[in-house]
Amino acid sequence: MFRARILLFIKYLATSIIICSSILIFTFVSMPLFDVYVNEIDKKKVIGMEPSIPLEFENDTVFWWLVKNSNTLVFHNSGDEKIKGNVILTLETNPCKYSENIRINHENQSNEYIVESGKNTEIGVPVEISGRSSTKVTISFIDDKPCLVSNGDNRNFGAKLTFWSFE
Amino acid sequence: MKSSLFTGKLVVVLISTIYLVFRIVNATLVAPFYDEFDSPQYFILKFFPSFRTHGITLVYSIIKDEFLITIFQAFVGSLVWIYLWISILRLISNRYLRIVITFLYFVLASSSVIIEHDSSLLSESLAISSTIFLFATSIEFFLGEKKYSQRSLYIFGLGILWFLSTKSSNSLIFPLLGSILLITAYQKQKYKKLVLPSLIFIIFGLFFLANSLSSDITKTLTTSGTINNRLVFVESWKNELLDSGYPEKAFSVWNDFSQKNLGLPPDQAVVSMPEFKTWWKNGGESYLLKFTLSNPDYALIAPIALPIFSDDLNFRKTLLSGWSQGTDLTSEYKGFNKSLVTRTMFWPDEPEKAYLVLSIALLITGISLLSLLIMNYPKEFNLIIVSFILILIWSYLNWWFGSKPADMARHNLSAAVMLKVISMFAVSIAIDKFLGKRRLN
Repeated sequence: MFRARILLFIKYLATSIIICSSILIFTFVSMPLFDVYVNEIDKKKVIGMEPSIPLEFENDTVFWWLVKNSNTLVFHNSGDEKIKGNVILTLETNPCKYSENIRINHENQSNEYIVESGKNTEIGVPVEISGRSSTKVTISFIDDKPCLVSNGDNRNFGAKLTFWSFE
Repeated sequence: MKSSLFTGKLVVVLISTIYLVFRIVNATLVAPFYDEFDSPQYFILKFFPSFRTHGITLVYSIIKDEFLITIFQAFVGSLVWIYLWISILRLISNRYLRIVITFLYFVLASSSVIIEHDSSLLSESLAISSTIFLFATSIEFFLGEKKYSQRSLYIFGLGILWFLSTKSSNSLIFPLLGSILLITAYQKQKYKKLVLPSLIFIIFGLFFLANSLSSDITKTLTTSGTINNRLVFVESWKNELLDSGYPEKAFSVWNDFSQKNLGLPPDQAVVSMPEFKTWWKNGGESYLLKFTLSNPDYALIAPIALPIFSDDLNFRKTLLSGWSQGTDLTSEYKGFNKSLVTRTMFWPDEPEKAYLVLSIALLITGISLLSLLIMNYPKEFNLIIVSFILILIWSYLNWWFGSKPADMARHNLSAAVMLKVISMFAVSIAIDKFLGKRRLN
């Protein structure tokens, strides 16, 4: 009789643990992640950039020359979570050393900035990228003034993208 | 009566055929996925010690052709899922419930998380199939029309042996599965008839267990992966590790090889270090075991609630993630572009929803168990709760020693599938019993 009661108690206990654990998983694990700013994965490790312009090197550092006709930067989220944050672009002026007015388009939003001569310009572009998908950021130059160099490179230079990050 | 029985059988044959054809067609549309690190070993059949388990190497080395292997995996997978479906249907008497369960069951059985592994040259497809087969045979043995019969006993024993032979972590629960089978068999059958089959069963079971414990290759990688993915984030765990003589330099080697592609995976880079090899010889080999035994918080709480110990750790490294997320070969590999299958509602793509589905599955299982307990159906209750506990034990063993944290989803796939199957089985049995009782009243 006593053994049967103990056994029954254990059975009820096991069942209660399963039910409680389901509530705990919902409360502590699932629910916090419904906030789009909360991610399990490290955002910096899963966001990659694929630009329409070639990658170049100077000593050990990488950079990209943005050109006067439009430049497209595709940011891809390889994780399975929706990620919200800011793409930070660090720009330097063109090789002709004059300031440029640029326009950044992203998801029907257009903003203008000035890349000043002799300074690093940091621009933050707010983005929201679903899991395993991409978003496009286009950068164009407002002024028509050309910037051509005499070393045989026939590109019409805009600005130099020296660094990007996701925060 | 005869005509409705015939119609019922016809429907079963029709649904089974459609599922079988669908799965095989899907396998023909997808290019086989060959993992350069893991797959080659599955084609090497060695008697003992074998790096990969015999249930897989035997099949792969006989068939050899990658495409035919995927077809074979799809064929076997289809048959076992159909077998389990029929085993469950036999226990449900309510017609409408049968229709609902059949629909939900095949949505789960057709989800990409399960079917995509047919086209993967790894152990997952046959491991899932063997687990499903084992569950089906246990239903037949404990609850079926011919329960405890010699035939159902032999099939159950065969199910256990197949399960043990498909993954190293499966064979670790041989003592538990073997005991359940042998104790029940000796209670229900004549002693004389069982001696020889028991002996054969024990020899095979011990062979699979010994084979899994014999390989050092996975042990070193798992230890290295576990240390750098879990232990280093908690100061006290890290200090204990350094006190054991673990080379501090290994941390920077891990970081360097993680951040850039230097030609080796980070866990392999660490185990190749002479300092790691010295530590391994001087007690490192059993470090994880000793650490797990001396830290009950790590052993019991960490597998499901790792973030409690450090803000730098998250649930993705826990079993909760392994049980809920599933794999996603279909969206990760180009060869799977033509696949017809999707993740379905059982495996949402986003982690928060995946955890939610897991919590719903557990809630359904818990409430169903409670109902069976209140309605007094001990056999059904016992089968479900024992299966559930075995899944927990299997997963814990896997988390402690058998799984690199980076492979949490793939290595816990059998458990993830089973938690969903069990919840579906539990709720269908509970509702059917409830409806049966109401009809009687």
